[in-house]
Amino acid sequence: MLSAIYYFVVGFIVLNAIIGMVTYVTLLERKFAARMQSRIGPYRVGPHGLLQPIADALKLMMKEDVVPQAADRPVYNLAPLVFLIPCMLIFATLPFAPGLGVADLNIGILFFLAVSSMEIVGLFMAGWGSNNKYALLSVMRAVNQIISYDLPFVFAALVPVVLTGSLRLSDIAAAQPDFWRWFIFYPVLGQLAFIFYIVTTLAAENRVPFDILEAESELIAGFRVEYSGMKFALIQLGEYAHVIGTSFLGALLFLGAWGGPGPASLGPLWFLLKAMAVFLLVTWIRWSFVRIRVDQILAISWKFLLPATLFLLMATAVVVAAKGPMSV
Amino acid sequence: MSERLGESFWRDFGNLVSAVRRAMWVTLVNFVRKPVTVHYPEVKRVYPDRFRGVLALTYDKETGEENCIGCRLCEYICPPQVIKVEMLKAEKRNFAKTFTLELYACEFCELCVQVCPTDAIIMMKSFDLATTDRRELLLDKDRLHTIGLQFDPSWATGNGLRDMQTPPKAPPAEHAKPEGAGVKVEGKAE
Repeated sequence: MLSAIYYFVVGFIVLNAIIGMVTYVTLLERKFAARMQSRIGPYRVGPHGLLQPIADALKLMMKEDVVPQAADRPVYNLAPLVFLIPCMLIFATLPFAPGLGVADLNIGILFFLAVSSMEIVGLFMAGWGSNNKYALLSVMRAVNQIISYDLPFVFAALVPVVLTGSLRLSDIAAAQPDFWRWFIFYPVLGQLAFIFYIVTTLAAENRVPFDILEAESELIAGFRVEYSGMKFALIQLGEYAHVIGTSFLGALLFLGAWGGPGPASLGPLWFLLKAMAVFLLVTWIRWSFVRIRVDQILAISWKFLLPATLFLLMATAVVVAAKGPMSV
Repeated sequence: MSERLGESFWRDFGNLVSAVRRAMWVTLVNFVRKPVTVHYPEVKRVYPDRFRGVLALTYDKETGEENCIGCRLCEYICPPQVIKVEMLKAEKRNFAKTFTLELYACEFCELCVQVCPTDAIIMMKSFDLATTDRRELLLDKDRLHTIGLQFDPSWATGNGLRDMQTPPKAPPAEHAKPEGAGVKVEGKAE
């Protein structure tokens, strides 16, 4: 009973922290993107536009909720939640510092990967329920792409797991205590795995250059064409939560999680900074590239990324078999 | 065959890497650069000399008389026909009895400025014309006068433009070129 209350309270705090973070990460991305285009970005609401996310949220809450007449109403209304819940659940196993997290499962990374690819169900419901050809085309592409990229994504994320010899996220973090023992600095294997991880997360998050499912020039806004108001906000929230979640995972797997100078109580801050660095890297890529074609996306996945990550995983296994895992 | 495939793979790979490097370098350079945005209402950028902004009537600074002689050339040349002038005959020179300009239909082509023989109508360096009432954009003589006092005039006036466009009388006389902005614009045209 007591543990149930504990998990409820911690889950509540983490959930709200994530929602608050998502709103401000949108501002961070907008500012960052603006600077990449020599603009300033949001500036007028509050000092340097700091209140812009709140204004946006209020605006979305007050918007009219339009449901298309031909929509499959139960599916249409349920889809944003089905989409949002897995995106929030991925934070359940993330430890933010030693012992600080909702649930440090012994299969943490497996849970993370499994739940994060469940978002496709909500995505497909949104596209199907909208009864809109653009939305349907968009989710068809999304399913196509996510199935193609989940395998290399998992393989890339498994490299640190094999190196550590544990699926528990806190063990993986503990295996890289110092700066030079971060897995990104592991000779060859670490760097390749990190590059593959970034590329495949871009595809898994449906971000540029893999954003064919919301290609503005051909599909308007993809699966959220018909959504407005708070449902649209929920979908956006889910997408950004997913992006932040994978950024946190990337920081944990490759950048040593909460390790950093200063006392141990600064750990969560370091973790947050590293996750934001990964997020900014993803954003940087987003604003540097153009969208690539569907067949190119699939070709990159099946012909290059999948064999490459598989080979990388096997190479890691060979190295670990020869040298033994990097235990704590 | 297999050799060619391998060759093309590494060439493609090299191209990909260099493309990624170039694309991300461009955004990085822009990121560290200062934004080019001008905070418009607070900061106004420097307008170019030939800026075509809101129109105004000029008045003689010493005598306070208007420069307009009511010749109606601007009314005749105006493509959207937004200028209406009535002439007032007098002994020494003529005046404009009324001069109205429907700014809401004006297309800022500058033709009225170019034909004006007395530099009476000019353009100002300003585009702050937004209003909630379109009647405010029906400019009469008084309002055109106040606009003329309110903003900086553009360089171009009827006589200035005609001087600039007149071919020089003696072709090899290079020292006799007109001064100031006229030289710049002439250089551009060539």
